[in-house]
Amino acid sequence: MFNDYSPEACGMTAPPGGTRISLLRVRDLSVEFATRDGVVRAVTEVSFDLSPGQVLALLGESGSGKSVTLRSILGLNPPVRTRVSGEILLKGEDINRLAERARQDLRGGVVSMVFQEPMTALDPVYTIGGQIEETLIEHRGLERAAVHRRARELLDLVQMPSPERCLASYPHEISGGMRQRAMIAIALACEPELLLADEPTTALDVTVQAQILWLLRDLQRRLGLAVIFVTHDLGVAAEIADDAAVMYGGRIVEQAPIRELFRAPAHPYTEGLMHATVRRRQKGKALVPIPGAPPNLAALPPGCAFAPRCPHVKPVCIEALPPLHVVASDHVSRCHLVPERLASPLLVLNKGGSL
Amino acid sequence: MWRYVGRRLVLAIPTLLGASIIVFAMVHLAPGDPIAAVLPVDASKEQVEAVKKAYGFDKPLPVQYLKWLGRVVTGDLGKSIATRRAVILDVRDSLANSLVLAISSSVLAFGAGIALGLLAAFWQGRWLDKLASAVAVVGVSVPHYWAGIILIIIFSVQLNWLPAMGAAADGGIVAYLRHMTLPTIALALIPLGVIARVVRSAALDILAQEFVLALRAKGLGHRRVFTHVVKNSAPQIITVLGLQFGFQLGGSVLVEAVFSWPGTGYLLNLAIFQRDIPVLQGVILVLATFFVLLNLLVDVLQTYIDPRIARH
Repeated sequence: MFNDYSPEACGMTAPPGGTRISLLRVRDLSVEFATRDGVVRAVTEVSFDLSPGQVLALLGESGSGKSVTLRSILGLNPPVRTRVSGEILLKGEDINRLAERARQDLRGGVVSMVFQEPMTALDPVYTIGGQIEETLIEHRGLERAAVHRRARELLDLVQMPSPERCLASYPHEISGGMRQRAMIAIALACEPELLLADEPTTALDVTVQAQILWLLRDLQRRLGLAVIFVTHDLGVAAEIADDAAVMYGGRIVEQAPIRELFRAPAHPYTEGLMHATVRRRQKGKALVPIPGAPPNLAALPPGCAFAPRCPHVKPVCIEALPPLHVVASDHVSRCHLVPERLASPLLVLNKGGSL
Repeated sequence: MWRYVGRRLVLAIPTLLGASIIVFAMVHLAPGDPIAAVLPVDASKEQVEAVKKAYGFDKPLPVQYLKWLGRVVTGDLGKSIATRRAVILDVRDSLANSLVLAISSSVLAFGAGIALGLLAAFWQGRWLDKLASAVAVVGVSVPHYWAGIILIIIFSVQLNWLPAMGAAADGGIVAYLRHMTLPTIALALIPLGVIARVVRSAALDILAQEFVLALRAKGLGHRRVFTHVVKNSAPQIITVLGLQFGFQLGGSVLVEAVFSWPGTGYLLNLAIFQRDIPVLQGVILVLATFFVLLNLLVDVLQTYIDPRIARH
């Protein structure tokens, strides 16, 4: 069910500046929006690596900074009243320092995105065919006939029913599942190496959700795609991901191979998420919701952002930001309680260290 | 597509009938007796009855309406009370002049308004947006007859560059163009402001939608994204353009009066003061027909651009 896991394939433990092939390398990414209610710190000091073919699940509630992280990788945060700092190295090039023209070549060409709601993410007044073809024309400069043939191939690739008719259809004329297949076809049009999937199954019917998930997993394996899969659904993450990063209040609070995360969560928030999720062998047990509400990103506390909702909270949690504790060789958690909860010798990383 | 156009044409008929009923009823709603307008004050009762019979006023209203409608459909709008000329001729000449002015001012207002609105939307919150919005607010706020007078004072009286009055119908094309310049500008101001504001908000609506982010995410350049935004906001913009063109055609009474431009507005103005009800009816009926046809054109264009609209 899971891809073979090794520290090399994960890359979380590699030192900065290592020679290992890294497709995406995010270092201390922070994104702040200036709003009427003050500065919203949507993402704070997020660091992670992704190697070719690796699937990372980005887990967390709404407003935890998952989507903003994805947009930052595309260099698509709003241009005004936004401050982005840190590095996002895509194949070694910092997206924040590239000229707009070079970024356009990366978008769609190297990194693509699949959105949550295909109805709103497709242009309603262009046909599906037109929307696939313009991507090809922009990046590849192909001729009409070649473009049409490639569009048709792409619809076959995403197993679209009656592809020829679909090419001439407008988004409102096809079903939700077909729209999401079309969205995936557009994203894959120019053979990107990294696919950003922003809750791609959330807006669909349950049966269709499973189909789209299988399709994505199948495509990921056949094409060797690296994927960042944003979801709040642990079950979905378990189906597709090699590794998981849990986000809370704009920070990554825990990161581990997904099996390890399920087996031994080392952050109270991750535990809370698991108790609130339907799992196998849990029939008859009530789900336990996490009390309280996600933090206000315009007024984050000085200590741990999860402290107000944490069942194990201690005075130190309110006073000081927890450092990243290494739980196992490739498992880290940003929680003060890690040392005492795990009776094993632990190494404490400095703030801003490799995650 | 053609079936849709055909159905819309059929649906336009009741609208036109409604307009014709209102126009017909005007004769009976307007203050003053139409008979009194054609007869001397001291006319005898027999004379009044004779005229009533001659004009058909002795018949019941529905019968009068149907007879009138029958004549109107064949192009007979009656005779002007003031000039005894056939109304259809007066309406035709003035409509031609008004159309010229409506088209020239619309071209100016649509072009400048759409450009300003799009600039403002794509540079939202920056100085270009503020400048464009300021121009738009001035455009909608300044009364166009006042702007006309100011234009006459500056360009005709002070600078003596352009003529202030009339159309110079027989002075050649250059003279005609010189005469229409100032009324065109005066008439363009309001629609320019309205259109700039509508275009700005329509484009901003579209820019805020997720698919614009998706277009950027797949690496489209500014030009292609711009085309998508324009095509998506077009149906909303075209609605306003259609309405504004209709207003240009019929709503220019004051500007035509200021510049003595011999168009429908000028004719309406004249007809109102002379109680020339056949002319009034003729002008309004023709303008209403134009309005209905214009709306039809707008609807058809919208369907052509946005396929979702044709679904019922």
